[in-house]
Amino acid sequence: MTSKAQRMPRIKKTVSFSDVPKIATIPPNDSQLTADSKTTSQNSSSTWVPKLNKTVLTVPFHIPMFAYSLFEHYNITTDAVSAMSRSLVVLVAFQVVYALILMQNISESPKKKKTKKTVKKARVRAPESGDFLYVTFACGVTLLGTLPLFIVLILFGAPFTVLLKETYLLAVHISFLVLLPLLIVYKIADNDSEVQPSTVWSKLLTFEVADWYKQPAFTMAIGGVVGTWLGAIPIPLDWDRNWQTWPITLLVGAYGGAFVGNVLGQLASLV
Amino acid sequence: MAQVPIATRPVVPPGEPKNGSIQPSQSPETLPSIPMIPEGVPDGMLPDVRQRLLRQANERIQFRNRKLGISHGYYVKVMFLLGLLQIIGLAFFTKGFLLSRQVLPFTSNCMDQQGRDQCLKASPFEKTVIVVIDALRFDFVIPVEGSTEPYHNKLTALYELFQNEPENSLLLKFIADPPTTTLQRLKGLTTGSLPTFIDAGSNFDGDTIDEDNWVSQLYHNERNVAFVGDDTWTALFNPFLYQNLTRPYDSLNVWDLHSVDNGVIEHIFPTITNRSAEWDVLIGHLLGLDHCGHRYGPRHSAMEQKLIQMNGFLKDLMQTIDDKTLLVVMGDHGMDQTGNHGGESPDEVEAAMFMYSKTPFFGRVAEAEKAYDISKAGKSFRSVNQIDLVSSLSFLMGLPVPYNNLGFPIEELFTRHHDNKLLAYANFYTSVQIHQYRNNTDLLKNDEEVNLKFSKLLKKWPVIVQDPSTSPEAWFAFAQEAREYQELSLEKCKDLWARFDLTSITLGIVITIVALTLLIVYSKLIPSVVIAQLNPQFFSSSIAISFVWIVLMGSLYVVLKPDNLTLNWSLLLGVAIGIANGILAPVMDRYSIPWLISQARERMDLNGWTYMALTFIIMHSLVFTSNSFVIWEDKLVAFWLSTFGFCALFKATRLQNSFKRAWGCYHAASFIIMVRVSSSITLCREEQQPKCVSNFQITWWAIALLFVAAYLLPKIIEGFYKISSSFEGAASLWITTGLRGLMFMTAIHWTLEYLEHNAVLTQSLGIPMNLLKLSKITIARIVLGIALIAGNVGWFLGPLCIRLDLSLEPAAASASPSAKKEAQILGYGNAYGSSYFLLVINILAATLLVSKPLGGLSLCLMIYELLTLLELADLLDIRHDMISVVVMGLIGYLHFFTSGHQATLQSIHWDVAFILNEKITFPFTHLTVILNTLGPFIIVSLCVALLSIWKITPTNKPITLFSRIVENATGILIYQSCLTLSTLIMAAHFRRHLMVWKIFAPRFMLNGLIIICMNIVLTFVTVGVGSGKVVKRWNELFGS
Repeated sequence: MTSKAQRMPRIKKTVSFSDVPKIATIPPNDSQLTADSKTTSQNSSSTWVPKLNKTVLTVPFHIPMFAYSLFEHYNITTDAVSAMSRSLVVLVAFQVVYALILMQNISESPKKKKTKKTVKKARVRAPESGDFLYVTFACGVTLLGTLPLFIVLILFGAPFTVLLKETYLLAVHISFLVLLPLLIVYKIADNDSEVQPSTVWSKLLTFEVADWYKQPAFTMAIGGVVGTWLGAIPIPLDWDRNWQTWPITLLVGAYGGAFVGNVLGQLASLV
Repeated sequence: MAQVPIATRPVVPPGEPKNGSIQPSQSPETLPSIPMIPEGVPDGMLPDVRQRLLRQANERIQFRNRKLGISHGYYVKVMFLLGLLQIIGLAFFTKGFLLSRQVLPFTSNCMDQQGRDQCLKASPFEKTVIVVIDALRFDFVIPVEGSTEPYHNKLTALYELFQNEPENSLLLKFIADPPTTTLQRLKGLTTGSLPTFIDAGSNFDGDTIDEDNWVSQLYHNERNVAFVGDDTWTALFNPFLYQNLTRPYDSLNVWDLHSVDNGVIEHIFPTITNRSAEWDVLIGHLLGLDHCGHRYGPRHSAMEQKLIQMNGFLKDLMQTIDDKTLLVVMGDHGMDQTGNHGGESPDEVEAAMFMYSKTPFFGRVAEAEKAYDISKAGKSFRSVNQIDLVSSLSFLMGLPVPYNNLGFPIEELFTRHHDNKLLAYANFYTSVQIHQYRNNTDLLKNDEEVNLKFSKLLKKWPVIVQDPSTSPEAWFAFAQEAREYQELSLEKCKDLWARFDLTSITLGIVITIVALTLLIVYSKLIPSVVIAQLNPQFFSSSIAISFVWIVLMGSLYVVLKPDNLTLNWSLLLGVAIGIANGILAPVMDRYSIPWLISQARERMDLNGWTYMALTFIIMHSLVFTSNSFVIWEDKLVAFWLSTFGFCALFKATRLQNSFKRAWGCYHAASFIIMVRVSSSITLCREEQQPKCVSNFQITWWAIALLFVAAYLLPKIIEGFYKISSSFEGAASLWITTGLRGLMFMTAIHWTLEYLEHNAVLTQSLGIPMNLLKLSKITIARIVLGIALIAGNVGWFLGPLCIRLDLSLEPAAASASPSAKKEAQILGYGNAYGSSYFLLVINILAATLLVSKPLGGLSLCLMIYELLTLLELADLLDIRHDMISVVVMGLIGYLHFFTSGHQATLQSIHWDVAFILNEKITFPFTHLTVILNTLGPFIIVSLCVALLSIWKITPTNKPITLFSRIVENATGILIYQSCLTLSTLIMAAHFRRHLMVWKIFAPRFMLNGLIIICMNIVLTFVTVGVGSGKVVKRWNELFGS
């Protein structure tokens, strides 16, 4: 929110009692408001956001494999909590590697390219120490992000007296799956970038980025969220399958959705 | 008024004359053509001109108001027709789906049935004592080894006798035909016929039974039937009971565990010992066990005490009766795990039946060991149908078997002498009676398979009777054959009555589809300007064409004489076709189908919100395709609402204006939280067990929260009013004084209710019961009286939430001595909405009273959600988007579920019927139950109009405003119609499904109720009186 507190627009009706007929005036602040909004909306369309290089490397092939191993190796259907917590280390490892791959494939900003041409030439570069630092930092933020995610899951109707462990583990999984790549690509703090990360994020979250569907990391996040939402559907069915237990369907939905979202984003960026 | 006015607008644009009704003195400056009149000038020509102009202006306004009134009236009329069409469709479907059995008005007599003057009397008993213990489940009366449940091994007297004195007693499992509600069971237990589903709804005031039954047979055979207990009996059989010994007790007050039972126990012994000369049959009906189940569930210590009490009572009773008396003890149904009943689960269907006499009388079936096996809580214990009691009792008492009976004699009652002759006689006569019944029923008489079996019996009978050397085996074989006939007949009957009238079902579905299409065309496809012009045409052509179709269908009926359509139904079909035709005719006159389709495509192409609305509608309609989704509908609805909330939050972050963005985010977030909080109030249906924990109970903390809500809710509403500075005028009277006062009284009412049923507290506090009851009912009447009568009368007088503020215009005041005076109308920005919402508050206050404490809290949350939604609709500009009405509908469903309801018959809160009155009185009892059940939908239907009128300034195009309101009102009807259509199709599709009577049929009935209720409220209150009154009032006051 902006710090400038704006007064609540009050709509009132006035009746004049004066002897001279009063001429209606348009309330001044209305016109100001519209003018303000016009200028801001003009600014918004020209925001630059980081893009990924078009390469197969950024397709998260590890996600379906990992989801498969959850069933085959970790036996998630017999004990969801232990399977989800044991597999977490592997997931984080996979995602960190994926994050490093992503970092190598972020294309430079057009302005940066011009100004810093001499410093960086190669489009694909080796990971630097700063990258590792940033990934560690991003992991920390991701961990923090589990908490709001957990609350969102509860608000969507997850039970809040029982099965809290399951729900929280689900939040952790989704967070590392979806949030970490976003943090890597769109940066939460970047000294080099000329564009403020905060504006990038607000544009991203409100779909104001042009061609958002061509951003694989972003479509991956959307896919993950939509997949989790769809994952809630089979729970009430009375099929009595062991995979219907909380939160397996949501987890699978998240993994499937994230992978599909990413692939669709990659395909869209090719077109 | 401290604030400087920011958005000020003059009442009248310069140059336009205005109505002088508000301030006569202000007219000069608003009529610029007239020169100023200096004060003190005597009346002359100038005032004449002025007055003439004023009069003209007034006439013009009156004319416009009249025009407005007329076109508003047409909206109501057309909506009424559309609603009528939906209801006719529903009626057709219901007729075909809930098939009713043909009741024959004939009564049996001994001559026709048994070919002799005196009927066969198969027992030595002169008197019969029949004791019905409501909800006596079978496993309550048998020993269950190792069970620690409070309801097991407590009522032991019956099984002990059954074991120790086999010739004097008989214990059987007694299978009820669903629906397992007392009224239906009593009908079955006395007439021997199968119940029909539709009767379940009339549990409330069962009319005198018009079928042949053994009570009326006793009466006609000059025997006296004495009665004490549940007043359902007097409702059904009053003319046939012996009035001197009839003592009915109120049956539906389920919180009262003892008064019926104590009454029965008090009266039954003196009647047996002292007044035995006066009666031949004595019936006692005890309700405590059933009420205990409803109130506490079976797993409660009160259940244990009740069963122990029953045990002692039955022991005493068996001591008291004499040698010539037969004692029959039975349960009319069982109870499920929650203590409720009505469905068809084994726990609800399996009751117990016990007979005892001091003279040896009872036989046993072959292989007794296996037949009377009590292991596994009596799972394989020998069972008989409840309707079998009818023919058995008739033979024991020497009566003809009632005409419509379908049950067969219970074997043990006729095999004492081992020659089986009696059994064969009883079975033969029953077969004759069943054959007579079948022969007189059109649907049954041509079944050759059954008839062939009977003609074989008829051939064998003289042979076996005339042969004196017939062996017991031969008699038994004949009895078996007769029984096979009866079983076949019963099976065929059940099959037939489970059959559906597919013509009516299809007609119903087609009419509903047509109604839905018309709604869509009317609401969404035709431009609203055109609708206002077309309305008179719609109405008049519908009426005219309806008459044409009525005549046409009438004559078609006379000519064709269709099998499954009576004259009345054909005429009703004529009305339906007439309405559809009458509305389509003007539409087709102007537009073509391709145009409508292209219009639909254009309207579809709106934005994400509309797609979301369509997704919700489709998903909600698809819920009815699966029983699991229907069972968990409450959770699904909450899930969708949260989804909407998050989408609204997301959309709010995109608002450009930072002030609006902050408010939008705040409202969306509070919407999400409110939805989550209210969805945590649960009353689980049986099928949700064990994955669901009910917390819908009357607890002290719920009542404490009611008090908190009484303080908070008016504050919250006040806050919402203050957003548009509308908390002026009548608002504080209505909200702060009225609503808060009524809510406090409601909370006190529920506190008293809680005290009344907390024996420990009442005794320790020493509160007299009578005073408690009296004050409770008085408070309830006052609250409802104020809310519904005084509140609505007051609302009709026209409260406005505005204030006129006179002030000097600051700039002018300093500049010139001739200061301009200025009046500000505070609350102008929400002129319609704030006034309309007072009506919602009236209904809310009434609904809160009849809702149980947690339900009341859920309703408070609902009001908060609705107000939040209205703000969101304003901020996000989705007032006239389909999504806002869909979300309103979903809010209605969410709070239907969270106020302790489910789509089952068992979950209806019958007990609130006694809030206003101790006895059932029309219409108070019905009003409370309807308000309790459909309250959320009524409030939502009322609030639909607010989507169009909340936070808008008075318009000078009121007809456009009406068209907006009607668009939203028909929008929510489209949503609801889609659901109804889906339930109809799915109920018809799953008519052979195992769960149809448990899940799909009740859901369809609920939807039918909702759509009828919504149509009535939307047409007559929301569009008709409510918004009509509000808009017209402003128009009259301020002209424009």
